Amino acid sequence: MSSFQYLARRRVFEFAVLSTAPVCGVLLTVLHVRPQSVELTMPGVIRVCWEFGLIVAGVAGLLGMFWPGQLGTGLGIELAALLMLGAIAAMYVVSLLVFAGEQAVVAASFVGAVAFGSWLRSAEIVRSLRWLIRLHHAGVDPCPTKQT
Amino acid sequence: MITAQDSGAPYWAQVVISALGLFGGASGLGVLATVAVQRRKLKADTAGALTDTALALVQPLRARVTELEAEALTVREQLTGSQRELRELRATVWELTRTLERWREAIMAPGATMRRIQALVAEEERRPPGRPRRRGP
Repeated sequence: MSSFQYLARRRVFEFAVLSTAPVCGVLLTVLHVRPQSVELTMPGVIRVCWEFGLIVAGVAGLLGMFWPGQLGTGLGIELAALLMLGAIAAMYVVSLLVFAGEQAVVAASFVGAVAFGSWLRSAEIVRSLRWLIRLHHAGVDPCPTKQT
Repeated sequence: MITAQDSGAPYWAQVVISALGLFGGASGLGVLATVAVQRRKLKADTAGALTDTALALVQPLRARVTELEAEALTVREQLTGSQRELRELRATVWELTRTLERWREAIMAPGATMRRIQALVAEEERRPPGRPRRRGP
């Protein structure tokens, strides 16, 4: 499957983060453990949403990355997943900082980097989509090998 | 711990986290809904654009093919004509060579006289009507 390798090679970091998120969410659900910071700082409903959001965002992001159909659809799904993942990571950063303060500098930095990267990639996808739409209106076939 | 969870964190943190969660969920769902709505339209548009593009690409090629076919037909006709002409010319040359040889024999014959040669040539001139003279344009 050459397109899988091609995409995975091109966006390794995104692939790694997106594939880690559902694993993390499933582990949290199956093992019935929750980070203490999440337990303490998030209200009940939001905590459950956060857990399921991890799984949903990861799976949706991978789905969008390897969407077999139209390029625009795949990018849209990926965009939605990355926005959610960014929000989820930012929520965790806030709860970490509130819970542990200065002790959580390293963890908050790296998780914050995930949030930041997700949002950067979202902005990039928005720009790509806009470009795609403009090309489409101009009557140019943007990616001949990608049609299905 | 479960009973103390709501008071365990400052209010602003909960608000920030809730806002982030709402933002993430709403934006994600919104984008997904937009994609689901726009997909069919964009797909149809893309299909139409593709067909148009394909037609625009094919049209000049089709015109070119017609042109080339007409050209090939003309060339083939010309070739047939040339071959026929060549055949006729070859036949004429052969015939002329034969005539020349006969006349030479007549001239070089031991007892050749002017009269006999004239008679031979006159006979040759008269004889050909049985066979068409190929001296076309």
